[in-house]
Amino acid sequence: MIPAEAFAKHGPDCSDVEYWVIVSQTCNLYNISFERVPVFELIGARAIAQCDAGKMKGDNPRILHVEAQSPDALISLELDIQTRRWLPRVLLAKIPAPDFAVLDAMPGQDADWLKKQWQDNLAGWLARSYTRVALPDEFNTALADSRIKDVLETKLAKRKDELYGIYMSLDSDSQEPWEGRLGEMPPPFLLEITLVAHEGADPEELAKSLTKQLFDDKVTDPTNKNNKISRAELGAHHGIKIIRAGISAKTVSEITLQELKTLIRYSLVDHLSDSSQAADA
Amino acid sequence: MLELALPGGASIGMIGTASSMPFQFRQAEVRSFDFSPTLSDQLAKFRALWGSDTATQSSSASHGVVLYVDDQRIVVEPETASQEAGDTAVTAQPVLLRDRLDEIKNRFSLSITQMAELFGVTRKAVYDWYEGAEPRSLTTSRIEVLLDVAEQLPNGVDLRRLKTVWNIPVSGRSFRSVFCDDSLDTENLRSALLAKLHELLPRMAATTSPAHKASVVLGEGHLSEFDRRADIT
Repeated sequence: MIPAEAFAKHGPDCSDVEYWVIVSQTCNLYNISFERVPVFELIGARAIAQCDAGKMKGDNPRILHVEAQSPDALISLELDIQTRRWLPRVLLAKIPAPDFAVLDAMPGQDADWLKKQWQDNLAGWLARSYTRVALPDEFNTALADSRIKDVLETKLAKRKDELYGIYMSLDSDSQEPWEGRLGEMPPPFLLEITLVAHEGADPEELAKSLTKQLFDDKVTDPTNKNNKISRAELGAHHGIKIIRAGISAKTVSEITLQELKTLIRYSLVDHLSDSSQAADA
Repeated sequence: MLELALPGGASIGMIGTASSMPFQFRQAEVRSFDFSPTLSDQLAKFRALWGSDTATQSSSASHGVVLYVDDQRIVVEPETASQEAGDTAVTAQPVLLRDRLDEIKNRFSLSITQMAELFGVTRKAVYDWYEGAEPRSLTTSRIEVLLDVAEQLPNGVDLRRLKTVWNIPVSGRSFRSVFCDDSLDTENLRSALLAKLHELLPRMAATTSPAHKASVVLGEGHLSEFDRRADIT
């Protein structure tokens, strides 16, 4: 992590942020050839009072909270993926050595070391900015309107320490199978949800809880305020069919690589915006 | 004579002679059970009456007789068997397809996607079955054969691991290819699946011990971040 002012004397104006976090791979930073590897990458960051638990794991595609440490201090940072630079690598020889770095806590370092894998979270968050799955706009809208999204993002979020991930399987609920791009699949949809739990968590209880929230708990029917229906029923009205048998949960040791490869990780989808938000040409 | 009474008081008929039967029998399968000798005798006569078309094999299941009558699945339970004037009445209740599907799902720890893969159908087909659509008769047979075969495996076999090996072509054919072979009748399918499972049993045994989280540094790496299709082709 480098203070923006460190570049003030040497390079282009980088004062639009407080700090810059270097995210290039070490082998590139140390490469002997400035012709082969002329630049390095930075992401802009600002200091914050403390990290928000909802922004630490990388579920937000644009903002990440991490801690950076020096031998004597800790600083909490908010990184913005929209603020990036590629600067000449020769600049690294002209600025002071950084005091702070984004690192992973080591096993046993403290009781919460697993929750402090800051560098790993940063790398995963960056990688996911290129791998995020585009889902159909109609599905994203229906997921929100049916309140199923509330369950996935709010109720399940309370159990995030038990969950490795929330995964989905999406298919077309029409007689003709859809063979185009997933993001262009028209409604109606078939939805399956698989919860993958850490070892030590009870997957059956997680599945039972999610099933109750989707099929047994009632919400107000927007078309008839006097009526209460389940989120699954509301989903059906909006073109998402989900059934009790479509909810499952397994631990990380029970699920297979083969199965994971067929699923979409919920946090990997760009469900925060849809194509209707595209600017006019 | 044997009368099978359906819930609600309706009866599916008195079994006298074949020509007097008011309905078409499609398939019946007798499972072993702890019936009274009298009822067993009655059912033996019932089997004899209908001959080989009624697929009268015994298995180790203990939940009575499973019958298919006019496309309705019926289980004959022995608990309420009574004897009245030489007749034996038993209570029959429909077995819902969704219950059989759930049994497969739970015993083999399958998602709907994996069930679709196993049966060689679309996910939509499985969803439709759960919502009451009737599968092909071959599929219905496969459901029962699969559950029957599962009963016949030795204790301690982890059926949840079948999905990890069902595509491996051991001795030239995988479990799935045998399971989806339309040319096999019920009996041959059952035999073939049992033989295939016995071939796969050593591969289905767990080979790794559970991970001990405290001693392993775990990242939050996700498959799609390092297992791109371009990397493996």
